[in-house]
Amino acid sequence: MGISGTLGVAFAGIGYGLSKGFAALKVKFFNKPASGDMNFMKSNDKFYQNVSNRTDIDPNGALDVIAHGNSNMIEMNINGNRILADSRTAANIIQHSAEYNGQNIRLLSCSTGSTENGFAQNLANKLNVKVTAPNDLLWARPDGSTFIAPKLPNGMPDLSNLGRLVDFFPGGIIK
Amino acid sequence: MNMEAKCPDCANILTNTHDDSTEIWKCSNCGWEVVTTYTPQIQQDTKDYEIFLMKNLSPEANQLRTLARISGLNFIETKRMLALDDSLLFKGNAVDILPIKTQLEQEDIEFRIMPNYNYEN
Repeated sequence: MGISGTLGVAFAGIGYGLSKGFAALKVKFFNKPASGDMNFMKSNDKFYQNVSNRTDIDPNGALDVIAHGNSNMIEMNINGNRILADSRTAANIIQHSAEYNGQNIRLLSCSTGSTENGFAQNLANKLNVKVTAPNDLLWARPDGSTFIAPKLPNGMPDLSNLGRLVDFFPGGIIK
Repeated sequence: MNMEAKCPDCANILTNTHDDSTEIWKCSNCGWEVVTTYTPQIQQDTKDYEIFLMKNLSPEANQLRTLARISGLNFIETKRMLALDDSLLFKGNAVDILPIKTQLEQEDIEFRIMPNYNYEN
């Protein structure tokens, strides 16, 4: 999953950078298990490795986008280069990827749903689909289970103050 | 920021490491582990900073070139800016400020940043 996912992203990046028409071919070089995700982390990233063990892959047909993030941007690892991408750039790359066919998006990406008009809302507006995103830091355990929580002053997760996944709809309706 | 944290399973002291953008808490005793995104302090800083040049600065040609490039002004406009009491060269967030600060230091151009700026390359 990691290799094919990464190559998919790399291809999307090349397509985005070189030719919209080329990218629009959406050629898929490798058969990918029905995992329903796009990974923008290094394949040996511990977060990616942990979250890859999740059991709720492809929730309700949504495409999982795995990336480090904050309220306004996600980090995309493309061809070994780390770039910070705003919602416009991310939307372009997602749209031109082989994994995307217009389905809803779930962001497995820290804090991307933490503000009303942040990354998740803008991505929902640009892709015109529902985008679900964590409203605080997303934490992943080795068994693939995840939870959302802020940090305590010592840097550990604050389990007494758990966050949630928030749904962002095109046009700004939040649930 | 990190103080001592204990493993919720065995109470052993946890280790905290960063690997690029990933923060890892791990127990060397029982293997308990949790990871999240590591965001450097500079990226969490939402303040706007301003870089001012010292008054009566007389830059050499290469310094003037650098100042013009940073400010987006031509050489004449840059010289005019230097004559002002408060020569605002650049305004931006902490991440934007750092490469400018580095450039100015490399070129030995005197400046001050408001408010106080504590990040280094």
